[in-house]
Amino acid sequence: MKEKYYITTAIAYTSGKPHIGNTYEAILADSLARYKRFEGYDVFFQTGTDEHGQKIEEKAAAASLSPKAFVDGVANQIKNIWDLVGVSYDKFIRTTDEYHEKQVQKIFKKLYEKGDIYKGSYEGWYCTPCESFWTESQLVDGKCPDCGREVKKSQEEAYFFKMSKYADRLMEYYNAHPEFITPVSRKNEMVNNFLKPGLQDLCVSRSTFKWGVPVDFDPKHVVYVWLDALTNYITGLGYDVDGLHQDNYKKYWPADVHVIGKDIIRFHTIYWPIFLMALDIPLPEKVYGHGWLLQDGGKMSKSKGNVMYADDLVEYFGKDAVRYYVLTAMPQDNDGLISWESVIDTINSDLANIFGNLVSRTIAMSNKYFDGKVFDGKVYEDVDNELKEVAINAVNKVTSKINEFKVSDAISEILTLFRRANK
Amino acid sequence: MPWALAKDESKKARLQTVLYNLVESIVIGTSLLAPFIPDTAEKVAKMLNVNLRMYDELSSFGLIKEIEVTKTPEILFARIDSLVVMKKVNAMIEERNKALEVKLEPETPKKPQIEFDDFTKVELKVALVTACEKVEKSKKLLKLTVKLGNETRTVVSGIALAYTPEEMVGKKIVMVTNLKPAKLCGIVSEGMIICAENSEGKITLLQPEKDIEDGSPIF
Repeated sequence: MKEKYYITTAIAYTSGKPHIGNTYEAILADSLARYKRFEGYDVFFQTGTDEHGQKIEEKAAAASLSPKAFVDGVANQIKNIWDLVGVSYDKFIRTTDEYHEKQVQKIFKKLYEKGDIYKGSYEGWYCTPCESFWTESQLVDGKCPDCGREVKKSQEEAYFFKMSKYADRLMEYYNAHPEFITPVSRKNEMVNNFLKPGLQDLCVSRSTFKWGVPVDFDPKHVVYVWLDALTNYITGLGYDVDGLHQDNYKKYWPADVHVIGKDIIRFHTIYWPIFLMALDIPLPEKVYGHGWLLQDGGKMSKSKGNVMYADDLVEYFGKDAVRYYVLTAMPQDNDGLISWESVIDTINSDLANIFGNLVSRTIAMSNKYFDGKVFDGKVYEDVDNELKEVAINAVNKVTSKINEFKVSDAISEILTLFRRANK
Repeated sequence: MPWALAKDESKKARLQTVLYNLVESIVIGTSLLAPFIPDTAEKVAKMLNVNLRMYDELSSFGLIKEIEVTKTPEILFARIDSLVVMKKVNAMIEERNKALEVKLEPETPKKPQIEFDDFTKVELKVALVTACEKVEKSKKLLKLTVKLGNETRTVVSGIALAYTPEEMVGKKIVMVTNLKPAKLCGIVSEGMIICAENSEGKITLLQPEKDIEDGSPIF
């Protein structure tokens, strides 16, 4: 057995059924996990659902359900979709799982007792969908700088985390691990936009709604959804604040890579490492922020009937065709596009014409001329060496692309071999 | 070209070598594809009657001694007729849109009743847009210059996602003319343009049904 490899997806937010853009990440991480297993790594692959927060509380109320009943339904839907597209997770964590909630409470308490979390009050502008507080100066055109929606003026008593205390250590970690943030271009953004101007203390509790993990020593407050959600990466392995860790935690932490969307890089490369430092836990090796899979040129909106879902696509085209499409449609460091037509085009060109044809013609000719028997006829020509060369070099090329998370390029190396064979 | 070799009986051994090389290439490529399309990879292995290669075997060529491939291969990926499938897809989307429309209908919250005097406090006039430009630093705002009879005013309006500056010029629209001026993105807006908006955020201007002089009051 080779070394361990711990890979995670971001946990999916249970506000509604995930569209194909949300499902992409699970397929991407699954492919990396499978490849690492193939290489011989002892892989642990975790995914799951992020189930707390005001947005969910509101959605549940709108559906006349309790928040728990609502997230049970959506979490189940997400799990089914993951299974449908073949996500081979070793662990599916839900942030409403009891063991998780218990550790979140203990973590909050530990950080409070340590002095990293303190009680204060907050006045500012609140964006409900993002569950984020903003100062006046952070607003863009008077709107939420993250999503551009309306913000409400709000004041609350709250707990804060002393981010600035760890800023220098985080900077040192960045410098000592130049590939911690992948793609590297994102690192400059984090440094210039957040670290250099000075980290603000982060509000890590909410009292304007109930659906969250209660702060056990001050139950008026619930833990900020990101502090709750991010810790899934350790609680899922059996991390215990008091040191009674389960074997998986001892074996697999720190994570080798957190696969996440580019929109939440800040949470994973600033907040998460700082929370870990405060807990005296080693930091993950890498955070890979992938681009978005966009439908027809705009970010997928759930408000219309044309939203593309994985289950529809699988029904029309089959699981592997859908996996193949989303994995190859994403250019490195960029956003990819998906439409029904482009999926059909890719299936026809790559899977039917190149791969499918090669296999079916080879089998057909072997049957026609050699009664299905295949063995080396030992009549060689120079041209054979070219094909052999491409074939035996493929593995190194593919592996090196995978190590850079360039899955689309990796698959394209394999197609090159099939194209060469089709000549 | 294996298909050319097939015609010449003397090249049979060569053809056999070529097919052998193809099968080797397929097995290597398919083994590498397995993490991405696992079920298909297994299907190929089954049709060829081979095991997919282990990772450490992939740098070798020629590991197969002799195999017998299936007599009844299945098609891995059938070519898809885009027209046929898109017709089905569009029908499905249309059905979903219809279902959504039905759901969206009610919902506009009712405002409390008001006196006629409350309504007459609002001064509404027909305004002619004489110039229009985008407000820099804002996605939603347009800056309009409007004529109300003898008077010219500047108005800032959040309609940039629905209308371009070019299509606004020359339009006669409805405007609230006695609102206190307000600063939007650093520009003083001397009134408000009246629009209708549906539940999906679609915006449309209101216009006089027949042409009428700008500045005409609205009752």
